[in-house]
Amino acid sequence: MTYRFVGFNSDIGDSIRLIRFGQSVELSDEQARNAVLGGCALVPDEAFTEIGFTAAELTSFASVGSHERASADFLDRKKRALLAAHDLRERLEGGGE
Amino acid sequence: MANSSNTRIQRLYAQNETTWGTIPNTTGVATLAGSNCCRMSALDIQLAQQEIVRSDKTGSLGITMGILGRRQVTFTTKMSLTPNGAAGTKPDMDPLLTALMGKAPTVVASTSVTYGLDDQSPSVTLWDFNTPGTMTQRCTMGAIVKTGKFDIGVDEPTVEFTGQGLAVLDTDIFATADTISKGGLTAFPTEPASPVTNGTPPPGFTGTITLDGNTYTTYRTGTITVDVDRELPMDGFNSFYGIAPAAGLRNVTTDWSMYDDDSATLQSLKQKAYTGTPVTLAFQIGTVAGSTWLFTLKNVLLAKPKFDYSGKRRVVAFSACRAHDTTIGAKDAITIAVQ
Repeated sequence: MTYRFVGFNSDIGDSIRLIRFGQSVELSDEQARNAVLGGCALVPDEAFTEIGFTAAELTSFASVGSHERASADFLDRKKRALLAAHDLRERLEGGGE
Repeated sequence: MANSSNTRIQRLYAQNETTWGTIPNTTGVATLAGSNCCRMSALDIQLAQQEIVRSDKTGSLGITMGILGRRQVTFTTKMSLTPNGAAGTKPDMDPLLTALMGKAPTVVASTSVTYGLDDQSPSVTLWDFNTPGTMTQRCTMGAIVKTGKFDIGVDEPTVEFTGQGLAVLDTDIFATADTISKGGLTAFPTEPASPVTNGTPPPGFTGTITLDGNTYTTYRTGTITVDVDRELPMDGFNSFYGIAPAAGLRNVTTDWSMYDDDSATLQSLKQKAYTGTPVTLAFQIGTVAGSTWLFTLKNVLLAKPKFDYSGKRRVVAFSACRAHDTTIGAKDAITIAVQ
């Protein structure tokens, strides 16, 4: 399944490094569960797409450090993405799928 | 030929325990996962067991071989002060911070994770894995944190935790380990295949230093020390191990140095040091949302300032300034927020 990264940076095992906001990553259910429970901020691709980030935004604000100069609109959508990541983590912590 | 191990290829995994001294497990199988990984720069778990030497005279100056005494475990681990990077997500060091502060943090989704003080003594299992996997792999269970020392203002902000563990279990001794040392396990786990780590520490010299309501850019470096005076008493009868955690008084102190000047705000701070007027201190490290730490110390009695002429510019230093709860029940001498 495809997930989008909404954190600063994360390493999953020896082979996956997430460093860009909105970075796409393919993970099995078990990999995703391990990553999310380990604090990696991931959102399912479908939910991320629904939030409506533009390609230009994801290019301009690929680094979380650059978000200080992002528009309020972008930051509002980022907040929604973080809430979606939080919901996913809570669901997995509760034993959900 | 025997293998050796590079000291840089060492990984820490930390897990909160629900029952002191019991390694998190499901029917004897450790629930350790890659999600429990936490980067560190140093991890040192030490087991000591003294020899109890018989004091009776033998007619010779030779020491009679003694018997083994109690087993005492201590640990130290140091790591960069790394937030998760996604606001409202716990940092990888969460189990250690929870164990230090006395309770789990308050999480506000997409906003912050805030650690407050409590009188409990949550315990953790700390795993020490090394490469190759055939080396001795270890853990200590029932570990309680006694101190947390935060270094700020430096290039790489760090925190060092120290404490005591109940026992050490490792791959070499598992087969002969006693019930307490096994911590509820039926086998020693292999290292998780996919450790997950998150975040980047902020530059330790960025952020906002607010002393008694005024911000200062003349702050240089400092430390915040949280000493919760926990121990596993080592005098329980019929036990080779420490007994359940006991805690003493919390002692939260900070030390720092700053360039001296003649500003009215700094004069006011010095005056409050002389008069013993408590102040609130806030040390924010980092500037990027989701990657900042905010240490808030309340009711701080400032030590008398000391002046340092060793450099080119005069420095004023405040040492061992102690924070206090605002009320008996508030337990708010310090809060640590990741936001």
